[in-house]
Amino acid sequence: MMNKSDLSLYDLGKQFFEGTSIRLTAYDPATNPKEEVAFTYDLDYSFWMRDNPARPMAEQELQKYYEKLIKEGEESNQGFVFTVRSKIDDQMLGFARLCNIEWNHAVGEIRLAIGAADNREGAELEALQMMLAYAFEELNLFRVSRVVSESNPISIRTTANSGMVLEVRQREAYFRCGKYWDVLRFGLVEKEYDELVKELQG
Amino acid sequence: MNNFIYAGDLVRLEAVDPEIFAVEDSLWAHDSEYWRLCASDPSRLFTSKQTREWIDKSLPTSYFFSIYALTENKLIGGVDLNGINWSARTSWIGIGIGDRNYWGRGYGREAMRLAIQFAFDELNLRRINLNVFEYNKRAFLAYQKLGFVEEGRYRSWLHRGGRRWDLIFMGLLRSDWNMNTLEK
Repeated sequence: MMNKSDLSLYDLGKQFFEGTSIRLTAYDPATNPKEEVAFTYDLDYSFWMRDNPARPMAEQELQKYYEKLIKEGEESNQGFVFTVRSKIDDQMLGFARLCNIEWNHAVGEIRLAIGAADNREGAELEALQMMLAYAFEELNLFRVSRVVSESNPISIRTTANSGMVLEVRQREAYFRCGKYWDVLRFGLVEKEYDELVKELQG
Repeated sequence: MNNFIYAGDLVRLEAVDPEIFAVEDSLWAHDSEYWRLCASDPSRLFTSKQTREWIDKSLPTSYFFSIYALTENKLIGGVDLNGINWSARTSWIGIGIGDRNYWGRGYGREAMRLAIQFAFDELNLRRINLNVFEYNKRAFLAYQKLGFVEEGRYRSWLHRGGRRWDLIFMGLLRSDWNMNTLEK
């Protein structure tokens, strides 16, 4: 049985921020909001930007939001705020973050959303897999969660396809598009992540 | 119509006086077992000034009540509705009975019942969420008795006492509550 002390399981040369078709970059509040503003008209996307209900946001508002998020993140050792970009043309596709980290329990939550229309599902899955690798292999977390509304079937699919396990279904906990939806909470624990790594290694 | 919604048989809810609450709350935090039953961050100590700052920060964004034992007229804990989502009409609820002489005697449960009634009848919410730690069996049973339904668990979310424990998610819909109160 392999564990974290066995160097053959995790690749020490792994590139956490370079994927096959996407890369993660540091979120820059000075320039990135200009690219991101259009995505906030998708309410599944802006859901993550402010307290409910979701609504579109202006460039300046986004800028302030990220400045605060990054400052607070750095102060509490949770400064993991990334931009997801296409490797082909460097277009911004969305954001990815690790947040709600409780270091004494070694747990955290992945928040990510892809706003670009092209190959949303593929980009989201790859970004999610990269964030899982970062969480387990670099931050040494024991478990990671992701929260998805039932109104967002693409994110439910990508989360399940990433290997994360559905753990909680909060009944009628979200409102969108004139109706109540369940909120689904997924989780992945260390030993399950290790199994995924082994599968990939064949 | 009942205009006196803040008192039951054992307890009454009162507006939080930050000065008074901060002094008691700092003493309660000294009880590490209490802390571990209701908080996931590491047990630590606070001056009443630090606690006061925390209360001042949380009061404007939540419905936060002091819990007083009626017979002794004694402050024994707090209950708050926080993280309200007005469009989904949901809220989180948290409770702490800091004075351990009042554990396991129905005081917390009655304070919860009053806060839930307030949430449904006055705030017009339709769902209440809560988290409880796997090892806090007394609270889990009290929540079940109030009508909360377990909706799942974050497996192995806490690390305490040398092992891992689940974080339990419970939910109460207004329809569950009406049925529950009707049955009584």
